[in-house]
Parts: sequence; structure tokens; C-alpha cells
Amino acid sequence: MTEPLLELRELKTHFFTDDGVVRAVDGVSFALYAGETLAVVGESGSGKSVTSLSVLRLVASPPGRIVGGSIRFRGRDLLALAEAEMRAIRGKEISMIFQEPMTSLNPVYTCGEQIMEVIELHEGLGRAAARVRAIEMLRHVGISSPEQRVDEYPHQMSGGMRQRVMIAMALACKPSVLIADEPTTALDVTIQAQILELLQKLRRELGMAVLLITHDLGVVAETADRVAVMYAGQVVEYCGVREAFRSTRHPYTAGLLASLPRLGDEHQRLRVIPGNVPNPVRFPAGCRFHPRCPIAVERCRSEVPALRDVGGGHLARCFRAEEIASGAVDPVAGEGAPRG
Amino acid sequence: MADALLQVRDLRKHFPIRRGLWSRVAGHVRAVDGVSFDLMAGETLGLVGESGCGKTTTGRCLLRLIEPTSGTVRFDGRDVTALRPRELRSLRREMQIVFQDPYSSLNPRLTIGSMLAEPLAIHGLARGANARERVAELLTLVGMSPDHARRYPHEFSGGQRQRLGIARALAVKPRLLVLDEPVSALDVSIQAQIVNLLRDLQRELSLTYLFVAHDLSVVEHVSTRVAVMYLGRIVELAPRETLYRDPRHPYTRSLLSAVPVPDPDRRAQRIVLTGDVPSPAKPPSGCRFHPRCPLAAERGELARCSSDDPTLREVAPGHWVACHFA
Amino acid sequence: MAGGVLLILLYSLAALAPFFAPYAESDIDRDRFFHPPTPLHLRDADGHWHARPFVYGSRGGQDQTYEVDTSRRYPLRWWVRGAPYRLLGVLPGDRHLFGVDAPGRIYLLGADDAGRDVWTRLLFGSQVSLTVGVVGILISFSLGLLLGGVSGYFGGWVDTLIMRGTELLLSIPGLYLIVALRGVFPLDLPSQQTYLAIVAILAFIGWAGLARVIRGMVLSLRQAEYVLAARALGASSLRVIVRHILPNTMSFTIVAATVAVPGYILGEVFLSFLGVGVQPPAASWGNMLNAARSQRVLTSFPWILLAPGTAIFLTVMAFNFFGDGLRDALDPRKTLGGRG
Repeated sequence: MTEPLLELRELKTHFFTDDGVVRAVDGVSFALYAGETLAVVGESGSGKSVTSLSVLRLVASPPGRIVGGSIRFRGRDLLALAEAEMRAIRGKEISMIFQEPMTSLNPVYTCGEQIMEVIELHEGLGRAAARVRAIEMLRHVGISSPEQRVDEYPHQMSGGMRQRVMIAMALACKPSVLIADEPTTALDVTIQAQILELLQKLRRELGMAVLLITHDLGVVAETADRVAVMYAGQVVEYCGVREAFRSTRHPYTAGLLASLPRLGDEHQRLRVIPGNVPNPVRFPAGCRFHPRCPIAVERCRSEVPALRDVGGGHLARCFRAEEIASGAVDPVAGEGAPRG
Repeated sequence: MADALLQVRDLRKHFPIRRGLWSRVAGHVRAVDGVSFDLMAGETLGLVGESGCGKTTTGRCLLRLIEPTSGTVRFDGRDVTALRPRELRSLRREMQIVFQDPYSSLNPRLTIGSMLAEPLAIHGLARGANARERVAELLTLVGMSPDHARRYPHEFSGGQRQRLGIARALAVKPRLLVLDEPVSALDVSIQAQIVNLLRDLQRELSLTYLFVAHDLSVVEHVSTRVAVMYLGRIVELAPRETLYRDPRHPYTRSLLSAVPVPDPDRRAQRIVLTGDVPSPAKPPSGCRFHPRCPLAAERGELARCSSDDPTLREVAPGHWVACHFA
Repeated sequence: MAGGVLLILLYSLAALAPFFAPYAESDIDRDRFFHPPTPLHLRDADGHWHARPFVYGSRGGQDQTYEVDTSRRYPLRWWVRGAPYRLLGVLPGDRHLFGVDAPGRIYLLGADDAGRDVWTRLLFGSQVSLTVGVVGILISFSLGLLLGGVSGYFGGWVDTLIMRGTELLLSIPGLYLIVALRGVFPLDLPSQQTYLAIVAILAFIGWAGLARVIRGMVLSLRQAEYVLAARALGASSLRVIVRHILPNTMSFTIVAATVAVPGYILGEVFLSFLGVGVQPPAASWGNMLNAARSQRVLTSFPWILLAPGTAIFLTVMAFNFFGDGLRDALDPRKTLGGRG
């Protein structure tokens, strides 16, 4: 592949709170290439949302601070930019949509005004031209009779509509990267299906790259090209979507997949990852997953595994990735159990 | 049916919409609008639907946490809707509820011990050392340690809190549990733990569940039978396998096809519905699903569907559908 | 928590006023109207140092001017016998912390229009002014909690009735209402009954605002799932209100009460300043200010104004700081930075 569009290296974002230093993002590396969808998957507290906020340097400070690493966008280090240069990138080059369509639109402005604001800001268009563009964007995201809708306020719209307006706003300046932070979590499944379809369509049309933050493995399987699985502030596995679902090399990913109830499944007990997500103030020593890992060995307790290539560009943060690959050990059932 | 532990007939709940200076009633939100079903002893009935379809209101009406507008609910032969306050209290030993949000469902000012002892005191079941013993027993039952009794809710994670919510519901040894989205707020890996716990408890204590949820995969996993709700009504009710293999209602079909499948090689053929769920204050005429229904348009029957309201009828043994074309 | 420390100090002084004051509450000295403060000296006019601080005597002149008489020294004595009193209304005693031998007099903060020691009056006055706030708050907050709780929990016509009542109270400007209500009671009440009347008036006015806020909180807490759970378990309304709803409004209530106390203190000051509150010879900060109305007093005897003014200022500040501190300390939602 060519140069990545966006590349994170060893990114660290910590929160300095009364209870100690919360290492929300603690050494995250991945790359996003033009035109692809990269899904960042993780449970709550894994640091996936903070990662996405860090890319736009929108982490609340204090208490949060980016304490290390680099974020390169088209060869430039975003962390070294002045605030004014950063503002020129936000919304123009890299846009973001959020989970909660109820609160991410300002209730006192019409939807049109909010889209126009972005356009006027970045493209220097006049009001009339911006309005034409806003209507065009609303039509683009599948809102019927956009000439009327453009003058409506957010509360006059349903959740699905508002999310479409958010998308129109984010894409108004044709950015090359769209960060979608749980874009469908607050929506019903039938509306979620509409929004996912829309995002895929727009990505193809505009040729942009999508960084999709989600906890829903179903959404990942249907939309992503590649996957970065996060656990406890770090990427534990980074590979193509098919590899993640078919031949995972990390016991956490394997555990997540096994714990999913699936449509068409037999009526049986679900596989479970024992225990709870660790407290981000005190991560376990060694591999952060070892207290919940069914195949942890002595080495995992003391030594920190690196995110390394375990074959064909498939990255995993596990000492036993090769054994998992060869089938010598079952990453879900644990030691000695026959693989099946 | 002799076996029905709970019989719900034509249950309705209409919330008045008040407007203006004098709080005039300007209309009604028909949150639940004619729901009927039976719940057999020992089974799990899944109640699914999108937000605003009335599934949560239905669950709460059964326990009379919300007073139903009309309809009857019979529990073990007794008419719940006609009970006086004193009788209602004794009913509450039989029917309990577990809530969705593990953060708002536990009183932050009470220790786990006093929270679990409260139902025992209310119903005079145990006091002092007996109560403490029962609390320890309950904690063990839901996979927690008896030492946790002295702690406060904020010291626990979401999954642990949900276990505590279940323990509280089980304190009075009920026969029926209404599970109101019990795993929706939890992470994937924790969801599985709670689902397994609920299944173990059902077997151990021979409980009957009404499992209210929007996640179709979880519902399929836990349910014996499944009812699908749309705009305050049940549109399809069938045994689990039947409903998932052979859905007859077009809404059920599109709902099932909309669920993202965690398998990159099976990217689904979707029936993507157009438009949003209409407001339950102004439900469409005729069949409530007709403005979004792909079938009505395809068959050119919009005139019939928009005027003629289909009843829930049995199209095969145990398979009930409210559609003209089932 | 400097506010808290200052409050403890102020209330201790008020409780033990007769001991810390060198004189009785209305100990009049007709030869020393408007006597200025008597500074404490360690070195006499001849340049000699003394181990024990002393004050000079004085000679009266024209128009309440006084000349310092350096020939008479009155050393400060600790633990002196003086006017008998009953501490906290029960413990008999006649010891005072400090004093000087007669015929000398010590006026730390000067004397008022009747030759009474302002420091002594300030201490006795604080007994009225500081307790009016606390007693008034206790009464009006009990009313507010009860009525607000009932209003929010039961709703319906009870709610309508109570809320219209509060609106009636809140719609009349506070100071007019205070004065109007004062008119209900006879003007020439004994000081004890005046005190009770003032407390009753202030409490009657104060409950309405709190009741409205409590009602709002109860309305939202009533929908909390743990309240529903308690009802589902068969708990009675009283049990639900007392055990599950009101305790969760407590941190707010305590803070609101603390911040509201100064309003009550100022209410008493206001009434007494108008001359319809606590009547001389009994002291209160309000009627001490009342004595400082004329221009002659303001220009020639500024201590008459400054002493009670400073005391009121310090008290109000102390309560506000204390309230802010409490708010922080009682906030259960100390955020642990960062989501997902």
C-alpha cells in the first residue's frame, strides 16, 4: 500500500484526576489508508473514544493531556501544529460525528444554519451559496424535501434524521477522513441499518477514509475493511476484518467473539470472559489481559508483550499468537481443551 | 390454558399529553394499545421492539408500577388490575422486576446489605441475624461475595451492579421476573455473564421470565417464545425457532434483516425500511405499519392496509401474526 | 474550609458571650457616650515597658470628645470578677476573660450613644443575629422538605395547591413581605417574643423557594429505577419518600441551607435596622447599625458603623465559603476522566 493518510504512533493520552492518573490511551498505534474503513473496537473503558478525540485534539484539558506519541496526517504531525492550524483541519480535512444525535446538534439553531456555519468557516462561501450547498448536502444524506428541512430545528426531527444532519455537517467540506464515534449506538436497528448503508454509500462516492469507533462486532463485520481491537488503552490486535473474525491471534478478540449470542445459534450457554475490565488507574503488570486470559502463562504476568507482526501484516499483542495460529492452544477454552 | 401463569388481555396504557396554561389534555400517547398474551410457567417470553414501541410500559403495567388504562392482567388466576393496595403488596412477593440501567437502579445511599434486607423487612420475611444470613445467601446466589454487603453501589462495576439488582428482585422469592432490558447497558463480555446467570437462576429456582429487550440476538438466545411489538401492539408472536426461521410479519422480517451479523462473509441482504417510526400519539390508520411496509406497496394493497386494521390471528399452531398477508 | 473555621469561632464567641465580654449587655456609662476605642499599650508615655498591657484613663471634654489621661494606667487583668451571668442560660458565673479595674474602662471597639461597650454589644448581639439564621433555616427547610416532598411525590391537586402557594409567596418582593408580616405582631413585644416573631416571619418566607427545588428533585427521583424497584418490592409511600427519595436530596439541601443562612441574618438586620426588630437595650447587629444612621455618627464615631458592619460581612462571607466547600465535598459524582 501507499503512504497512510493518518498514522498514530504510540499515542498516549492520560487524565490527571484526584484518584490518580487514568491512562485512558496508553500507546496506541495504527494507520488509516485513503478510502478504507478502519474499525476501532473495544468495550467501555478501552480508550477507543479518547483515541478518536485525541486525533482532533479535542480531549478536555484539564484533566486530560496527550503525553506522548505522534499523530501524522498527510505527513504532518498534528501534535506539533498551532491551535489555529488545527482549527483549519477540524471539519475541513478531518470531521467527526458523535454517538448522541440528541446532544451533538445545537438546539437553538436550525439544521441549515449549523451546516452553513461549517461551510462559511472553511470554504469562505457567502450565505446564499452556503445555503445552496447545505440543501445539497441534506439531499445527499437522504433527507426528503431538504428545501423545507433546512429551516427546521433539531427537536423537530427524529433521532435518525438528526444523525443524518450530523453526517451532512461533517461531510459538508468533503473531508478526507471521517471519524464516526459510535454513530449508530443510540439508534434502533432499523434506523441503524439506514445510517450504516448511508455511510458506506458516501464513503464510496467521496472516496474518504472512515475511522469507525464501535463496540458492536456486528457493525464491524458489515462495514470495516480492517480492525483494531483495543483493550485497556492499547491495541491488542490489528488486522483485516476477515482475519479478525476467522483467524484471530489474540485471546481477548477470541473471547469477545465467543461471548456473542448470534442469530441462528443453538440454545446453549454463552462463552464468557471471566472478571471485569481493569481499573485504568492501576493496570495489571505484564500483559494487561492476563488476569482474564484463559491461556496466560508465567511470562504474561511479568513481561509486557509488544504489538508485533505474527504473519502477513497481522499484528497481535500476545506471546502465544503463533500457538493460537497453529491450533496448539484454544484461546477461548484454555489449556488442553481440544480446539473446536 | 391451564398452564398460563400470567394472562394479559387487551392491555392499554394511554398517557395524556397536556398543553397550555390550564394543562388541557390535548391528546393521548397510545404507548400500549391492546396487548394480549399468555405467559406459561417456567418459560421465557421475549418481548422485542424498537424504542417507543411500548415494551417497557407493558412490563411496568403488569406489576402496576404504571396503572394500566384498561385491560386485565391475571396472575395465577387473580386479577392484578383489580387488587387493592394491601393485596397488591402480597402480589409483589410473586412478581419482581430487574431494570436496565445498573447505575440508576440502585439507591446510592444504601449499602448493599441494607438494600437487600429491605424487601425482607417490608414483607416480614426475616430480621436481624436471619436477614443477614439471607443477604449472604442472595449474594452467593448471584455470584458475589457475602463480604460485599457492607459496600456501597458506586464501588461496583456495571455487571456487578446488575447482579445486585437481580439479587434484590430475588430476595422475596418471586415466581415471575420481568427483565427490562437487563443486559442492554452492559459491555459484550459482561452481557454474556449476566445472560448465563439468568439462565442458571431460572433453572435453579424454576422462574418464569418476561424478557424485554431490543437486541434480537440476545432475545433469541434466552427465549422460549418471542413477541414482536410495533407502536403499542404485538404484531407477531411465535415459538423462538419459528419466529427466527419463518417470520411472517413484514416488520419482523425487516427487523431481523437489519441486525448486523458478526461475520464478514455473510454481509446481509437487508430489507432497509424507509422512514421513521410514527409517533404513538398519532398512529397511522389501518395497519400501523403500512406507511413503512414494503409488502403493502409491493402487493398494491395500500388502500386495504391503510383502512383495514389486521387482527392478531393464529396462522399456524402457536404462531400469531397481525398481517393481512401472513 | 476557612469559612468553617471562622463559623466555629463566631458561634463559640456567641455562645460564651458573657464570658468574653468585659461588661454586661446593657451596662450604661453616662460619662462616656461615644467614647473612642481604647488602644492597648505595652509602653507608657515615659518610655517604660510593661509586661502587662494597659489602657489609659480619659477626661471628658466638649461634645463627646475625650482626652487621653496618661497619668492613669489601668493594667489589663485576666479572669476578673464582674457582672454575674448565666452561661448558655444555665451555668452561673461572674468571671470574665479580661477587664480593667474601676474606675477605668476598656473599650476595645469604642462605646455607643449610651456609653455601652461596643465589643460587648457585638458579642451579645451575635447571639440574636447568628441564631436567627440557623433556627429560621431549620424551620423553613423542614417545611420546604415536607411540602416539596409531598408535592413532588403525590402530584395532582396537592401539587397544584402547594405550588400556587409558593408562587404567591415568591411573587411579593421579600422586604415588603417582611415588613408587612411584622405588622401582624404588636410592635412593643418583649425582646424574647420579638426574636420568635422574627424567626417565624423569616421562616415563613424562606420555605417556598426550597419547596420548589425539592419538588423538582423529587419529581425526577421518583422516576429513578431504584425508587420503582422499592415500589415493586411493596414499600409504602412513606418508606419510599423517607428512605429512598429524601436522602438523595440531602447533599443539595445541606448546601442550599448553608448558603441561605446569610439571607436570614440580613433579614433580622433589616428589621432591627428599621427599628421594628430587636429593641434596645437588648443588642442585635441590626439595631447596632440602626444607631449609626446619622451623619454625625458616621463622620465622628465611625466605629459604631464599622464594628457591626464588619461582623455581618465576615459572617456572610464565612457562610458562603463554607457552602461552596460543602458543595464540593458532598458531590458524589467526582468524574473519573474519559469515556470508552
